[in-house]
Amino acid sequence: MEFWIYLNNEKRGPYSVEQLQNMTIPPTTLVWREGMGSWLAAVEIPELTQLYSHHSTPPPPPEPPQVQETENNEMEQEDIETNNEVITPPDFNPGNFIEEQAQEPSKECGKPQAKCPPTYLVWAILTTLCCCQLFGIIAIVYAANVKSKYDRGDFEGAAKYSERAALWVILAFVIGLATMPLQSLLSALTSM
Amino acid sequence: MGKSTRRYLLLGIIAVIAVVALYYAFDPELHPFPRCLFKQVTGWDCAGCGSQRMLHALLHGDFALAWHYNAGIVVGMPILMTMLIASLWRDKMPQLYSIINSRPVIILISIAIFAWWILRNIF
Repeated sequence: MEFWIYLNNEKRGPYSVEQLQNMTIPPTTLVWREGMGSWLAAVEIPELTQLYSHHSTPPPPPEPPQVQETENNEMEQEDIETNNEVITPPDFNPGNFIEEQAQEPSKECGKPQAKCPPTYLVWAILTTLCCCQLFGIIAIVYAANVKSKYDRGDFEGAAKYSERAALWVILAFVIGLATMPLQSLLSALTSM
Repeated sequence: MGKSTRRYLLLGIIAVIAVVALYYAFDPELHPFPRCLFKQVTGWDCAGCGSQRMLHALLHGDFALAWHYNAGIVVGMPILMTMLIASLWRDKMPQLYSIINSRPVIILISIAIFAWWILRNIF
């Protein structure tokens, strides 16, 4: 079993369990091996927990004394997790990892590697109701396809549709504002 | 929420206050407010027609009149508010944002809008 570790902002590996044992990496070091969906702290990996158990160092309690340091660590981890795709170059394993990510992106919009682009749905609906029905409907159609494209792993397509939804909303807003005096004049004339 | 998002939020709050003040002070029925282009051209109400007068009535506590002007928006307003909040605080409620922006929900909302649009011109 070979492991990659993420140390000092650098991906290193592959290492065997023995090598990692000699290196005495901190338990919070992010580790990845083939077959894992994402990077995990070393202590969370079954094969590596033994490295820490017989060192007579207790497993990290939920709230360790050095609060600031752990906070930093956690923040680093979060950063790394969100950038998973970036730090995982293709040469790094036989392609399993990347395929896995493309096929089953996280079901939830908030956490995945590349965040689901905004749909601008609310603005599209408000455009349909308050100003320009046609533009609003076009924007809604684009908005409806952002997440389904994203779920299929088509991140580029999702980003493109998100931009188009925004474009139609902005267009409607600009035209609506520009014609507002005219509209007011029309309504003044017709109500007289 | 990033710094720029917070700035937009502040601008948004100012805009909302301005709009509320405007529609509280003036009755769109009596003053030259912008009128729906679709209505001008076809003579039919669109899904959002009457929402300015509806807002004025609602701000003055006249719920029945608000309902009369645009019942669809009265019903839809809480939904729209939820959607707006979910998109502004997306990081805090990713699940809700995800559900709202899924295709089935968007299709459902679109059907509701079109149904209201057609029905209000028939009855």
